[in-house]
Amino acid sequence: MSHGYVAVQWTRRKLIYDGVLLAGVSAYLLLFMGISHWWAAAANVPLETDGAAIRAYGSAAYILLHLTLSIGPLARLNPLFHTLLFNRRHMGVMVFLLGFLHVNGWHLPREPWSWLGQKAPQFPWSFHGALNWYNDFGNREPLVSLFTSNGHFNDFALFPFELLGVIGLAVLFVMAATSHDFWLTNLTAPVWKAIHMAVYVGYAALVGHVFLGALQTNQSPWLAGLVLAGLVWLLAIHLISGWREWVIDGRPLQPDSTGWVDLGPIDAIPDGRAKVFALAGERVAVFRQGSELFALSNVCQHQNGPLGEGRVVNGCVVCPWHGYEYRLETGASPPPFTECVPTFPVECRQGRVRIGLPPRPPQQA
Amino acid sequence: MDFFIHYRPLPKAHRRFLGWFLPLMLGVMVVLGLWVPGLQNQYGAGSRQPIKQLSGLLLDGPGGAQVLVPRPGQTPGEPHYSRILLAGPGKTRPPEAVMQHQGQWVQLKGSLFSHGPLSVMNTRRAQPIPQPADLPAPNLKGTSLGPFALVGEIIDSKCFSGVMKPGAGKTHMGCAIRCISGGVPAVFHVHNPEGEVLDLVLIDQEGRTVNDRVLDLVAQAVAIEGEVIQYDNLMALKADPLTYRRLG
Repeated sequence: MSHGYVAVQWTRRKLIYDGVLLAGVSAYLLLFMGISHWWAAAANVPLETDGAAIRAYGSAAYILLHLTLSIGPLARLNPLFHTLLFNRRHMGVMVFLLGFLHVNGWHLPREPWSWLGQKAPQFPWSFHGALNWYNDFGNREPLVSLFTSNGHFNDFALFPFELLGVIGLAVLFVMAATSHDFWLTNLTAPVWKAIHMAVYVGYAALVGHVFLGALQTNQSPWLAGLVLAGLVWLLAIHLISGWREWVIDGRPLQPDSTGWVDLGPIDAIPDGRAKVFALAGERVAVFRQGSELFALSNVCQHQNGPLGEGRVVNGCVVCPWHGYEYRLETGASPPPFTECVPTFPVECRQGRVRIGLPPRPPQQA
Repeated sequence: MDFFIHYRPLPKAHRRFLGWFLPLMLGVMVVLGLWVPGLQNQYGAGSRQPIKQLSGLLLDGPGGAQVLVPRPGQTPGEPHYSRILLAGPGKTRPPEAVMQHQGQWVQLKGSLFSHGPLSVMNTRRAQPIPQPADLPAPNLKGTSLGPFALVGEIIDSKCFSGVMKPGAGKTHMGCAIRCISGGVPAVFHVHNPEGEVLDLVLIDQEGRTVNDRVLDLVAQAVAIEGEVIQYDNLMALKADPLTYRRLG
């Protein structure tokens, strides 16, 4: 809402969210690398430590990206998932950081070990990322090597999968860098949202990166099955949630000659909630509070969340995504906040709801 | 009210949901963390041996830098020498400090990587030594084993012999191109359905290295018809790189 910008508005719930997120990611990374080392020791085969870390971070980013992309459609299908959605951007930033470490590696300070006269262990103290491990220590600069080594651009199977990874990471970087509300406000919600829809371009690039890279080298049917299952899962939940919206948008209502539109019986709108209608190209959320009706744009000014899936609390519509509030009568956020959405004239005649066009412009309180 | 607002108390239904969903997600991450490493091709047979010291005749070919090491106590009929391919630090051929002594007997020190019959030493310095007495003459010209048509993959001998796991295939293509273009001996890795492997250094019809001419064919299935020549324990495949044929 309207307030001074801080890096992160920490709340207890955000701290718990990030703690659980870090615990899950850490468990995966430590288990992946620990099991890799244990397995190699059990089979008496030396392990390529850097390679194991590169695989661990890359796969962690890929798995977490699936979870991040699942939350949106799942929240549309089941409101319980709003508990994961409100801080989803932290998950997205974590995906970028994991992808960055997959590419760049890390080298922690060796001092704690050298002070004790010990040599710092390579695992997990230090590892080369994919960029350096596969492209450095040779006759070209790593970035030059990355972009010039494989020139099979016209061959599907040999296509340089690394470049698809670069595209994916670049998209994730833009998303992470603009995830703060500062950018949301200054870019405006529609532009910001359009930019963030590029995550699907990034996801497509990363699917190509995995299919043309990891799956060609690690030819396990189980691994291919896992990757395919992730792709099918995301497609399915997006199609199902998209279908619901398409059903609403597919039957846009048009006003009669007086500028009013009949929306059906008032009983079809649950008390304290809304029903969403598509009116002449715009989604409108019509809320019922007992016998009173209110109509507001369905689009939250924060991240364009679906206000019609929100609830009425203390006379305000609360957006289900991040809790932004708008007064039912005016569409304005309560002071000191300044967000506001357009409202529509609405009435009930003989038990049927009617809404008038055009909308009233947004009014600040 | 059964509606989640992140700055208000958590509704009971949401608390119940998180009570089973978060442990489920953590469990999924644990299962994947235990399972996915086993699906990776990261346990190749190549290995790195402790720092070793070798003495032998330093040669620049066939197929790249190598050292001819006497094999004392061999049974009759076996080669009197082992050829160990050489690479420099990183993805390079041995530095000039080493190669300036080619044709001389030298003592080398470095990491030795081995994968089956293929051995590569990573070295940066060579110390000239006197030629040992009473050694049989090395087979510098090689022995032709005749023409062969082989299908395999062009790999860089250093990574494949143990630096990388796997040091072959698509994800390693960029690294292999760096190594081979840097002068690490290019090797044609061939295996039959029974799992028997053969690693042959690649040379052209004049016996020169082909490194800069095969970069477009690295890390993919390739068919080569040429003459196989045995140099002690090292096999070489002699063919014009222009006749190499990519499969698929």
